[in-house]
Amino acid sequence: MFYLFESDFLGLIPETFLLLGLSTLLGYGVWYEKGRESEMTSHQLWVGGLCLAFTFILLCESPLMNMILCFNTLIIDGMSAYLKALILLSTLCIFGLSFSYLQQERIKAFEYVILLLLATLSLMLMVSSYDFISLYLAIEFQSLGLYVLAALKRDNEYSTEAGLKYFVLGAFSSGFYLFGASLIYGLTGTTNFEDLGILFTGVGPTDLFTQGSVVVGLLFLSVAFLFKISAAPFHMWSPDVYEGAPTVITAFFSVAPKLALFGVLIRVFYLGFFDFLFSWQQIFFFCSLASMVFGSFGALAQVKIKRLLAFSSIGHVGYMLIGLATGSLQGLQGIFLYLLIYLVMTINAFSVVLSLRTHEGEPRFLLDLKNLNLKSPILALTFSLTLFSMAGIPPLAGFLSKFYLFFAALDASLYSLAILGVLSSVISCFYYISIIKLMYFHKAEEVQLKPLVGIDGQKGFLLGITFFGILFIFLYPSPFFLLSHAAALSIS
Amino acid sequence: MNLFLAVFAALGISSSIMVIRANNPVYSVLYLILVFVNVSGILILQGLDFFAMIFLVVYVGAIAVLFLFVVMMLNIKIEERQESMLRYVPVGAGIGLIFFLEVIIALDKEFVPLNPLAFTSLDNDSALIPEYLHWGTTLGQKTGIEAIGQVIYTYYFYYFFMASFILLVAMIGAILLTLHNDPKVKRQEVFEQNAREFSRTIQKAS
Amino acid sequence: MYLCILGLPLMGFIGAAGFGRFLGGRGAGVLTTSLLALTFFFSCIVFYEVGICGSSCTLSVSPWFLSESWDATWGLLFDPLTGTMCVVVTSVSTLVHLYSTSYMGEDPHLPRFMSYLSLFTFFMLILITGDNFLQMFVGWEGVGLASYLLINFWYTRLQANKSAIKAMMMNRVGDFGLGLGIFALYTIFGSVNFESVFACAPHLSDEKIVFFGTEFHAYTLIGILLFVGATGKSAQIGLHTWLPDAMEGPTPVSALIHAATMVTAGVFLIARCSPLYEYAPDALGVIALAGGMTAFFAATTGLVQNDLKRVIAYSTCSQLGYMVFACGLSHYDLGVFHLANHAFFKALLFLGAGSVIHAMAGEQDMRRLGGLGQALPFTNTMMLLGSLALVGFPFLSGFYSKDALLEVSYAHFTLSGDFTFILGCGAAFCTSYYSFRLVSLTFLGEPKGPKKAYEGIHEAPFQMAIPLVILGIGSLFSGFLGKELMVGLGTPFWQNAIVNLPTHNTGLEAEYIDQSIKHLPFVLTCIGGFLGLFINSPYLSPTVYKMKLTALGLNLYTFLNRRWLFDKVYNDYIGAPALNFGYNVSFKSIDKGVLEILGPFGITQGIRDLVNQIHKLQSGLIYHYAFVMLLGLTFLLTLLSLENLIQVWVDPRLWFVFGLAFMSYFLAGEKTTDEEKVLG
Repeated sequence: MFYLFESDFLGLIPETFLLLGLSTLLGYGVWYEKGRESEMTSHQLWVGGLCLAFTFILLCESPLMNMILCFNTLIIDGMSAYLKALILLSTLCIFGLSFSYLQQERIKAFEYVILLLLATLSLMLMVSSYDFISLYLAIEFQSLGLYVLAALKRDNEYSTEAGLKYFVLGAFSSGFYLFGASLIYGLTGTTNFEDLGILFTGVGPTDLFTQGSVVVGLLFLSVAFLFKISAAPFHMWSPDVYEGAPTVITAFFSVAPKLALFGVLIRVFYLGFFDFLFSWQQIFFFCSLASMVFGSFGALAQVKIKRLLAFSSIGHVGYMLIGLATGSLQGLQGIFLYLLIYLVMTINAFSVVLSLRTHEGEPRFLLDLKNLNLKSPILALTFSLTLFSMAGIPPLAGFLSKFYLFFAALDASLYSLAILGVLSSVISCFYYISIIKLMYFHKAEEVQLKPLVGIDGQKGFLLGITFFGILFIFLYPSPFFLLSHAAALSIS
Repeated sequence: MNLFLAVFAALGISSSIMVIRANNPVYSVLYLILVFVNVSGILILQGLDFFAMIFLVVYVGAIAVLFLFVVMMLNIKIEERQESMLRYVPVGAGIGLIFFLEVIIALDKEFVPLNPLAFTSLDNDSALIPEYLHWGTTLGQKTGIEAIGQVIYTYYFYYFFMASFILLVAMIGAILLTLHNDPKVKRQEVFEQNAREFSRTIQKAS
Repeated sequence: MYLCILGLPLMGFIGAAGFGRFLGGRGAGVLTTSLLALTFFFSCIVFYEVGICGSSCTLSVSPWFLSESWDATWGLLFDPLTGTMCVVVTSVSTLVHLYSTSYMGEDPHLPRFMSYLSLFTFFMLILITGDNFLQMFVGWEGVGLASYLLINFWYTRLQANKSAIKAMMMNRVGDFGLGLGIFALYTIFGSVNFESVFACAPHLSDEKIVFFGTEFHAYTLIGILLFVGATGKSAQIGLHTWLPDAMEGPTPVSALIHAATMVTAGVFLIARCSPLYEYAPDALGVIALAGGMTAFFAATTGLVQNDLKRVIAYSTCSQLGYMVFACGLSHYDLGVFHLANHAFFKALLFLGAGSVIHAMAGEQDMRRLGGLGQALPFTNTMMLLGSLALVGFPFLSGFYSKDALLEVSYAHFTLSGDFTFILGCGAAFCTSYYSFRLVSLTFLGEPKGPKKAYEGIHEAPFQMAIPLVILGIGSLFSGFLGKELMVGLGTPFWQNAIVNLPTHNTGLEAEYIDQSIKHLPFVLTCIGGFLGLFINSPYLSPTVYKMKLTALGLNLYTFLNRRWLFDKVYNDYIGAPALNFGYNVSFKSIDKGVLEILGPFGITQGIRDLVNQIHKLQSGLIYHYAFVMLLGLTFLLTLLSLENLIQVWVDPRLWFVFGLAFMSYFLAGEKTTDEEKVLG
């Protein structure tokens, strides 16, 4: 007997597993929640983490490497596998950070876990999207989850504000997306990326349509995506949202959606619209430039830790957009490598920020980092090396990724981007190092140092493993090169 | 046709402007209803009768009315914001004009066939019509609901699933954000309240 | 052995500089002197092998830096020219080292002094042995450095500082020319190796080169640029002013660097580049004229100087002029021959003067010396010997080179030849006059100094006497020994080191010029000598003094005594405006003004403002955010849809303006700049 979707679900086993797991968790939570809220979240976190781990294993062991699923709406390839693995890892890390955070902040909602898992699922589906409609649905799916997560601390006005802002502006950008997608659909009659790619084959820069409507649609699409990854002129929401959202969620925001959205960007622009390279290259060129500038200059003015990290992530997005603007295999590989290292660095930085908690609450200002050296030398060392790595100081991981991207840019003759990238990373050095100065060289004051709350096992483990990565990826980067190369090869 | 389209579009746009310009929030919501009605009119013109009806039922019947209730219950004061708006008018108008003009310039074109190869491969009589416009012949005659049902439950079941996921997330989110699990809050306990006996509850104070 | 010639002085330098305080002054002296003596020994062997036996050789030591077709290597080239220079340099250097151990014996910084001397020798040897222009340039700069360090050896003396800086500055001007010359060479030949360049020289002689927007004959331009370098180093007219001032350094330094070796580097350079110069007759003319003028000008200035060392310094300058014009007349061999002879007698004169100064406890002014003949008979003899050699007394060394020089210049029968001959004869007369004036004022007559100085008088000690004796012997015989070897038609000595086109050689014509012309220099010398002796003798000096007080005499005296007012012109018309410019324009308005505002301060301030702007943008209001998004979208839309229109507006030359717009800290301005870069 013939079934239309006979083998499609095989390709979707990881996602299906994750979905079933989270549904079970949801049922379990609803059923047993009453009166046991405090243990519940912890249990849910453990089980949810396990669920993620199994999904990860299923993903890695999946025998299906390349496949188009569900009537041309989803695709599985090397890039999607790589990014999905990273997304799963990042969510796992967030789970690891959540244990103590939820306890300390007295967040007793087990829905937290469910929402994170749903968001992860949506991100995975987003990476796999092969069609404008499925992509839109995945984006909405993801956004709704993230809006709720941002507003999780509902008695905190910052958090509520963050949720609201994210929601309104997110709706704005969704509008852009829909406009762009419908323009392109109206012009071509198809929503499938590969079909678009085939349709546009050989459309050169001199063609009538590069001046015309396709490019406008393309622009609207790219604006929507750039909003989601908080690239520069569309980044305004991110500092506020990052600051307002609970710190763990901030960590999630700054990693996982970016992973997925870079996948989407690559998928859309390299698969669907590669022949419009010269048009969208300019968009990314400009946004990359602006992100680097805003990221580094904006961070200089910040006094709050999370806002600073938000600007830093804007800057990182700018560097990654360099890779996107190259339009070359090397640039893609650079992006994938950068994403991996960015994941490691961000998780590390947020682990440190979360570990800075004193008995009086969470630190919010940069000045709270003062004299960290005296409070916890190891933490101070870890944080300073992470910051060095983010700034791209040579023997650390961050250097490797930036180096690779800049070389890709040079190969693609984007000299000004590479030069400005280096310059802006010099400026970013300035504020990273000013934090280090605060931690180490601030004059010790007479005031009693407030002791830190201890670091729990999960966070310690994450700190250790990411710090190890930051220190030693540079020494033996070949596996990561190979992984990112494989991911990049699947696209071009 | 075109006349109706123009009327609906003009009315829709002008009432959407009124939504944000109205001083009284109740008026705003009423204008919003007008926008929805106009949009469903446009949908009918496109032949999407089912969607037009759904639009009316869901947006006007449910959402807008809910809005209206909420707005009325919250008792929002009429705001005075004429001055602050005027400040932004020149810049906003300038940017808006530029944006509008550019989009017009970019889009004011005949939607000509993209792929030059499409011409050659076709017959002479339909030389100017690209292939993808021939869908009409391949589709059977179905009503809108039928067609949607056939497609969305079979080929595109994934979209249907995704929509349900979105609803799930929205539901969880709404519950999470609004439901307070505070033990101090008194809840309705139907069973207990019904089972409660008057005689056991009221006791004489000694 | 070839490497040892370079290595030993370097070792001496490192030893004396790095371990000087363990060795002590005496130890450092012994170390460096013995190493130098060894070097001299090797140099003699090299001279024998390369010069007399005629086996030139090159040594490729190590690669330096390679880039595409550019290859600069450390290589050594030993040909007869190098061999001759090696012998001259190492011999004088050795003697000066020996001399210094005694002369500077009381100085606490003797190790430093010795190390500098060795360093100088090392760089000088680099200069003369280099097998490419670049390496020669290294040596060239190195000797400049050593010269600076040595002039400034007594760095607490203001005068020494000034002189050292002056020497450095003047040499910079010359080095600039040399540098440009090397660049020009590279553009023409694509190489800086002597071998490649000189091998190609005859084939590329019609090349043109564009310099300052004007087309020049390449060789002429290169020749003149190289000669500018030589002018700086060899103190030719125009850039000579540092040389007399360099006498502020210790006397052995004057003998070694500012008389015998370093200042001859320019002559060496011209001789080395003879294959090029032979095809650039215009450049040769310039050189000859400059040389002749220098010879005459310096000799006249020397007439009325009162400082013992300054007289000799001007004499050096004048003799350098002789060498240079010899080269300018295509008689490089004569130039080098004169160089070698001059090294001996000039070192002798300087060391003798040093001996006098040493004896008189630092007194240098000839007006306060006198009558030293009886007190210092040995020094007196040596000085007299040196002077005779200098003025070209028959059968002493100067005679062979200088007279030959004047003869060939007469036989040249060209404008530059006649010009140099006349000036050269005048210079010969003056040379003789001031030499004997020196002898007369210093050694004859009656003592004019304070009694105290005369009480402490003593003859040169052993270590100082030995070099004097050896140099005296050199002065006596070097001309006689070398004349057949180095000068004249048909000597195979120079092999290919010096190229002389047959049409340029006037050696044969010089044999057939009029006898009276041949004797003219000697006659002039004799007259000058007698005048020098008598005018300055106590009997005639009042008369001469009266002559000096007449209007003409006073003017002439002042003119000559103030060195033809070169320094004054330089100070008033170049130095002062340059300083003025440096302080008011480049320092105050450009460096502290424009650059500071555009640079550090402007950037920090600009960044601060930019940061504030960005901060202000982050207002927290949703509709602001949405507006910024819309703005970005509109901008991108403009960028994409109006690309063709904007491209007209984007001109690379406008980038500067855009950069300035960026500097005006206006945020929108910044976006425009970005946009331009996108499109460019």
